Amino acid sequence: MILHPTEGPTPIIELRGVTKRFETPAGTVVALDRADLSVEPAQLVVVLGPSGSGKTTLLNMIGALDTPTEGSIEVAGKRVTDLSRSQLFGFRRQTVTFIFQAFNLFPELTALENVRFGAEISGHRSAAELAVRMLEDVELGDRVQHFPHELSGGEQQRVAIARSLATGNPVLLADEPTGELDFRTGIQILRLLRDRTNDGKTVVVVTHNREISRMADVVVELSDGHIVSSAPPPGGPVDATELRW
Amino acid sequence: MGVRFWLRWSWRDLRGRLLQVVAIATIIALGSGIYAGLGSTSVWRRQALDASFSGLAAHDIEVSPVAGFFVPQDQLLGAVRAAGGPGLGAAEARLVADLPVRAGRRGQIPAAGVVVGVDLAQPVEIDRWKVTAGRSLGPGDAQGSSALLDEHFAQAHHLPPTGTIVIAGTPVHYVGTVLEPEYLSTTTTFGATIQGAATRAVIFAPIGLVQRLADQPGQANDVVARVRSGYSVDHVASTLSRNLPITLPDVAMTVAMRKDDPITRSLYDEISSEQQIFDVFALLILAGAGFAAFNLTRRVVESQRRDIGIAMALGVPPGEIAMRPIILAVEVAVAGVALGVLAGWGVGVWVLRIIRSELPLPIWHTPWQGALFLRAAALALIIPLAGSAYPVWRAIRVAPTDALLPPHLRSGRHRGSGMLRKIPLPGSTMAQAPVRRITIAPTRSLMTVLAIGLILAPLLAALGATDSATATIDAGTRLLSGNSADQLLVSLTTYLPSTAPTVSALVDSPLVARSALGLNTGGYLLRGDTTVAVSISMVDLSDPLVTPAGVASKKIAPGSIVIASKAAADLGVGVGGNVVLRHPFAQGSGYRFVDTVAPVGAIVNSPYRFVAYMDLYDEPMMGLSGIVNTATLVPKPGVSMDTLQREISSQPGVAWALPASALADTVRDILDVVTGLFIVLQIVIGMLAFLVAYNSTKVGTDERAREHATMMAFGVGVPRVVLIGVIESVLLGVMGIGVGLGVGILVLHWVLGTVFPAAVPELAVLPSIAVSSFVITVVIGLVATASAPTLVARQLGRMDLPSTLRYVE
Ligand SMILES: Nc1ncnc2c1ncn2[C@@H]1O[C@H](COP(=O)(O)OP(=O)(O)OP(=O)(O)O)[C@@H](O)[C@H]1O
Ligand SMILES: [Mg+2]
Repeated sequence: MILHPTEGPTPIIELRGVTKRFETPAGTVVALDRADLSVEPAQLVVVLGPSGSGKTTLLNMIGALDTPTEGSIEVAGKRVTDLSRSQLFGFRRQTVTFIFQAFNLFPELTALENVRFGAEISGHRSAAELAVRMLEDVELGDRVQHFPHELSGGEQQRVAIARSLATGNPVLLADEPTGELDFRTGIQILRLLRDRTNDGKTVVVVTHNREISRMADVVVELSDGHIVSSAPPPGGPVDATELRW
Repeated sequence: MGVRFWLRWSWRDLRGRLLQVVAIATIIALGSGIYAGLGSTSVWRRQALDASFSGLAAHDIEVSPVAGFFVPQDQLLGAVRAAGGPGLGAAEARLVADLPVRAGRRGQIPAAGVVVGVDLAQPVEIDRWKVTAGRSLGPGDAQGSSALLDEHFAQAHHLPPTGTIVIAGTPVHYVGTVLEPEYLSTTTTFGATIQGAATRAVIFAPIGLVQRLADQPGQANDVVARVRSGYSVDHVASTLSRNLPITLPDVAMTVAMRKDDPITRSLYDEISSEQQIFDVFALLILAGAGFAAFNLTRRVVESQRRDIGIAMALGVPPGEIAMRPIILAVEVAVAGVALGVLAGWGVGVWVLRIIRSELPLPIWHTPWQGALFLRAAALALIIPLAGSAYPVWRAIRVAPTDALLPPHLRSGRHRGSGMLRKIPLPGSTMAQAPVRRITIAPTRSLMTVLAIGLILAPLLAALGATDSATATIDAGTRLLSGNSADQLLVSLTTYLPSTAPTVSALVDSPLVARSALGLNTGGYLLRGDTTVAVSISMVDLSDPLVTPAGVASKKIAPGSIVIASKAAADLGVGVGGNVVLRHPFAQGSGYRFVDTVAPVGAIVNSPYRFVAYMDLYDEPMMGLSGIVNTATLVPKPGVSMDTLQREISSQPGVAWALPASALADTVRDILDVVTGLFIVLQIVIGMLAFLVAYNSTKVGTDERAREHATMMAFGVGVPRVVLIGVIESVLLGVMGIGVGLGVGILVLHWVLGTVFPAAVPELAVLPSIAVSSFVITVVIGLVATASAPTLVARQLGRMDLPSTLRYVE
């Protein structure tokens, strides 16, 4: 049992001894090994680590897309590891929301409809108006009727972010959200995410780009399935405009 | 890279899509199976008819005096032998008597008896019997009183192989049931009615016994004869026609050749038309399978795009790249052929069993129809390959760079559906999803709709054909019994003056409330090149009891004839137009046919072309006056139809007496066979529609794995995702049903408008589809399409969300 001597705000994400093993015909892969993590609300957390270190696995555990082999996960007061299958679906509707590296927009829906989906699924009443506002927030107010394949990669990612934001869920999970994007667009996306923490959302961003970690409140370093450190970046978070890559 | 390499790779493809491959192979198998199986039964039935006619030494020529006339047995046979010339082979005299019959343990089954007296003193060489149960009759029975019963009648009433049957009031023991080549068809016409197996009892007995029963000692009225090999039947028949007036000067004789006999011909025609119909059904189902195969191959190719792009980038020639999807199509084809041969064999055996029991034939030959199966196999091979050709061709022509792109960045993916996608839809994005999916993949949607539609079409057509036949019979019955309650139709054994004691006994019976007499004769209507055989009912055309509805109220001018609408249409004549009526004219002790021009006085809406009416007043035209041979009787209140029937059929001079309703029922019995076949068709087609819907859903589920995973990542539950699939499938199903109903109605019109009239010109069957048939078709379509997506629920529930959502496809 880990004690928390510093009486800060209650953590919104809390992992204790989380282990994830994958059984493959070639043997067992330990993707995550006894990971402990505590994240406070309204923070921008950047998860860093080399390829295969378990970043995506960690994010999927927090978002209940996958279940740990061992350990417990608590998100926004819900013990994810104890939830039933249908409660997990409810958890994904109300508590967390994903931004994927592959965007995963619905190809047959327009930008507006993709965002509306996010608003509707989490139970918003005036989903259509909310969706328009969200798209305006990501500066796509003039692209609402476009289909995903008619948008650039950065625009698609902004639609994906708007879709996630439209859910209004407190925890945003982004796996390599800038991986596909050029520098300028990448910065734009990161600023958007940073702004969300000002609205009280907790944002977890996975990346292997160390530069991005400079703007984080907390940097979680992963190596070979182990959390090797979890601390603010040296010198404190900088503004997105100061990033270089 | 050798073929082995591609084979191994496609083997993995096959394993991944085994269920779909089996589904499409099954559709193809059932389509080709129906084609080969029903095709085989048609060949077998035709061969069985040929074999039965030759194996039982069916007569080539039948010579008989005009109905109601008799000639001493030896004189008749001698005259025919003398007139036939050297080509005439064996000849046997018979006495064929129409006598009322009651069958069953308590004599509860009334029937019109056709009692055939056969000379058993010599061995029977013509129209021999095939015993189906009990024993046959031999020389030892020549003086006896044992009889044989026709298998059709025995079967219709489940009569035992031996028992007692009451013929014209006399109990006769029958010792076996038989099939005889002259009586293989059970459908006969009389007046405005059709008789089936249940109301006509053909009985074979020693000629002496029949002469006693019919009260015609020493007489005969029928000679069956064979033509010696090397002589033409036509030649012998015309020799007979020429010489009989010399060898038998007093009686007018008719000479009929079996090969021209409409009943014999109809046995063959029926097979051909059924085969045509089932061929079309099979081809529709196969076309449906082709569309389903197209969908599968497209999906396979789509999922292999990346591999195809890589292979192209590596410089693999397109021919080799096409190998993988083509091998899969070949696997579908081979599985289809293998299952198709099984299905064809199964369908053949199963349909043969139904036909053998419902439409018994004396001799069966059922050799393996190799050529037919080869043709079916060729179809089963070609269809999946044709369905795959286009997707494969498209795939290998795509630019490698485009093939290598991740799906969401491919430019061409949603080409051509822009218009459809811009249609604004009400409801939430989730509620819109099913429609969006249909419009986003218009080709696949269309293929599914066509596949379901083409598979459902034969079902509606088949059900509609039964409905139309039933409606036709009902129309015929209504016409027969008018608006009044049931009536007893009586046929007399011979032409009698209306004042004869036999006739008075009927109309003056204390059980009879109302009666009408008539004269029924055969004749022909001629106009231009068209000849229509008719059964002319001469009745009092002002009496609604015997006159079809709508005619009694009209004033029919003397000398006019009332004909059926089908006859009017075939002859191209309307009310007031003239036709030539070829009718018998009494002359001496017989008749000859004469032509009289008769105006059409009215047209009745009878489904039977052979129905024709004239007023009894016009009898002198036939050289007759006050002569009748039919009676229509209505029982007094309180007198049951059965009582009246028993009483009347026990009267002398009555050939048969049957309630009008019983005649209609027997035609319905004939339809029961077809109905039995169609129940299985419903099951098979339900399965096929399910397989098509399953294939389409499976393709959709594979294609949309990423979208489904995204939905679930956002917390949409599996049931909700399945529901989208169900709604999508049902929407496609509804469109498919629409196509099915449309094509089904077209096929029905083709069957009833083209195939049927050619096969059975005597019947005018108008397309009429019962609400229940629409309901059955719609329900089968809906159930199949709604249930198919639930099969992928497991696949959705077990989806690995993280891997599916990852970057690469
Ligand atoms: N479904 C799986 N089955 C087997 N092994 C898996 C599975 N998913 C992940 N792994 C393994 O777990 C380890 C961690 O994977 P993970 O995807 O979390 O890495 P990552 O840090 O996100 O890497 P990257 O930066 O390349 O995305 C890897 O060694 C990977 O091979
Ligand atoms: Mg990763």
